[in-house]
Parts: sequence; C-alpha cells; structure tokens
Amino acid sequence: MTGEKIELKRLLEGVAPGERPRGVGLVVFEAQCASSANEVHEKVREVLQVVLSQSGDHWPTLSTWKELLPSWFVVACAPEKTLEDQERWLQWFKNLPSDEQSLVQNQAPWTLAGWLYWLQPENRSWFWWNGSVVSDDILRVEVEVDSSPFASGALEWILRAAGATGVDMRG
Amino acid sequence: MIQLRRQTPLLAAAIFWLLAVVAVPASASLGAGPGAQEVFEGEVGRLAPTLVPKSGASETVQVFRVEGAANQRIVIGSGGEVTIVGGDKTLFLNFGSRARAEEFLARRLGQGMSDATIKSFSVPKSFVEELRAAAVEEPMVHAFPARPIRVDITKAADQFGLRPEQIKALEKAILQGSGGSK
Repeated sequence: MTGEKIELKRLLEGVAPGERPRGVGLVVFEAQCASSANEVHEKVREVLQVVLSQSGDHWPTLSTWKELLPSWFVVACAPEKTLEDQERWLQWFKNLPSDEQSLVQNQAPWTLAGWLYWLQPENRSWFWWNGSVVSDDILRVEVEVDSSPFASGALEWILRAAGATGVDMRG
Repeated sequence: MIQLRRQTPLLAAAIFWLLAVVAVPASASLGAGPGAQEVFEGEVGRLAPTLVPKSGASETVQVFRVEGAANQRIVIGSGGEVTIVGGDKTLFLNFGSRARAEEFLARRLGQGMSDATIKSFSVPKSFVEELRAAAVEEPMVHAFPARPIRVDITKAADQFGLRPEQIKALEKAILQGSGGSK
C-alpha cells in the first residue's frame, strides 16, 4: 500500500492499533474554531479525502481540482495571481515588521494552485495522523513530519478555510 | 498609504491585491507572464552562485535540522565532515535557533522517537543573508520553483526550505569539520 493510501485509510478509519508514526514523530496543531470544531474537523477530512484519493500517477489539472474539491474550499481560496503580482506582494511583505508578517500569514487566503503544490506527493511535508475535537471550539490535529523545520502552511490553510479562526503549532 | 499599511496590514494587503489586479489589464497579464518568467529564471541563475560564501567571511551561523535515521538528509562524519544526501529534494533547515531545535527534539524524544537527532553545522552568515533576500513564502512556491522557501516563521526567524540550486551552494558553503549531532 502506498503512503497516500495508508494516510487515506488512517483519515477515514483512524489510527490502526499498534501503528507507529514514521519520520521524526508527530506534531500537534490546535485550531480555534468560531463555531463548531466538529464541523471544521469534518470539512478538513472532506478536503483531504479528495486529495489523497487522487494521489496516484496522474495529478489532476487545476481546473479538474476545482471540480473535485468541495466548492466551499475552492471559493475560500484567493484568485490566482500573476508572477508580477506575486513579486510585488513579496516585496511589500518583506518590508513589514515580523509581527505583522505573522499576522498577514495567519489571515491571508491561499490560492488553490499554491495550496495544491504542497499536496503533490513529491512535495509533502506533513502527513495526516489524527484529528480530535477537544471542545466545541478547539480542534486538535496531529500530523507526521519528516524533520524540523518543515512546511506547515498548507495544513493551516485547510483549517482556516474550514472555519478555524486561529491555528497554533504545539511543539 | 504607508501609514495605513503599517497599522492594518490585512486591509493594506487586500487593497494592494485589488490595485494590482485593477492596474494590470487581463491582456497585459497574459502577455507579461512568460516574459516575466524568463526574467525571473535569469535572476535565479544569478542567485545560486552568489550563495557561495565570499572569501574572508568570518562571521558564521550554526545550522540545525532535527531528523530521524530513516529519513536522514545530513550525514555527519567522525571528524565533523558534513554530507548532504538526496539533493534533488527540498531540504528544510533552521539557521541560528538552537532553542527551537532543542525544543522540537525534546518533544519528539518525549513521544518515544528515540532516533530523532539534531544535526548541526556552520555556514558563513552571508549565506543566510542571501537566502533571506531570495526566499519566497509558502503560498507562492508553485510560481517560483527554484527559489528558497521561508517556513514556520512563528517558531524561528530564519527557517528555510532549500531547493536543489541552493543545496549545491550549501555544500560549498558548509564549513567542513563543523558538523555535530545530538
């Protein structure tokens, strides 16, 4: 079974008895949810289920992804940008104080193409392990990672798009 | 406008994007894309060699990576020699924050991941400065596939994903003999 299939099975059925994390272990993210943590959890799983089901030899085109993914997620993503727009934005962003950079990063929407890059099998930096609702407004997500540091932004964007108002990496 | 940007970055970001989209007609955007890509690739071609440390660089930065045995990318020899493996894949490194590496390792050991290790080595400070200048943010990596990626800024300031071009430069920049593991 491929890594994506194992991850998909875990997403749908939970962690198998005796299953041990790979890589360097598990990292916990805590998402604050404005309404229902359970709803955010289900939405995140809905998106990941679509992606992990497609992670075979053929990676769909952007337009196909727009049809495959839940419409609420596609709508939540920012419009695609030209290279010039992105270069201009980057120059502006780099001139912000670091606290404002964090604020922008934590609230600005991602483009769908930008998010999909990190879900391509060869670019994956984290792998779903488990999600659990801690309380009505707190969702806890555990992911396997290969190293520290790693790129966590794509996970944080799904959580925010699904309704999380803030996401903190715990450790 | 400058004051507005400082006080309300999100509003400013939204205005910035709106202006960018309005200011560039669709036809111009379509026509400018490939041209910009050519210019950009030219810049990348120049960026990678400049990551090689300038001779006489005296200030150094310690680089950290926490990794396990099964997925190790950094091999440290008995004399502190450093070898990077898998140079065709993005390599994530923490430049300068021992505290972040120690904190991460402690949590992994607490989970029973006994083979988790901090690998470290030194590079000239100029290498990090070049990375900072060239780096792009995670959401735009797909558009700039050859540039270094800044990651996880909430945990430490200088954490980057290095692409193959920067890994080659890193291999030349590493101060051999400075490697260690814990």
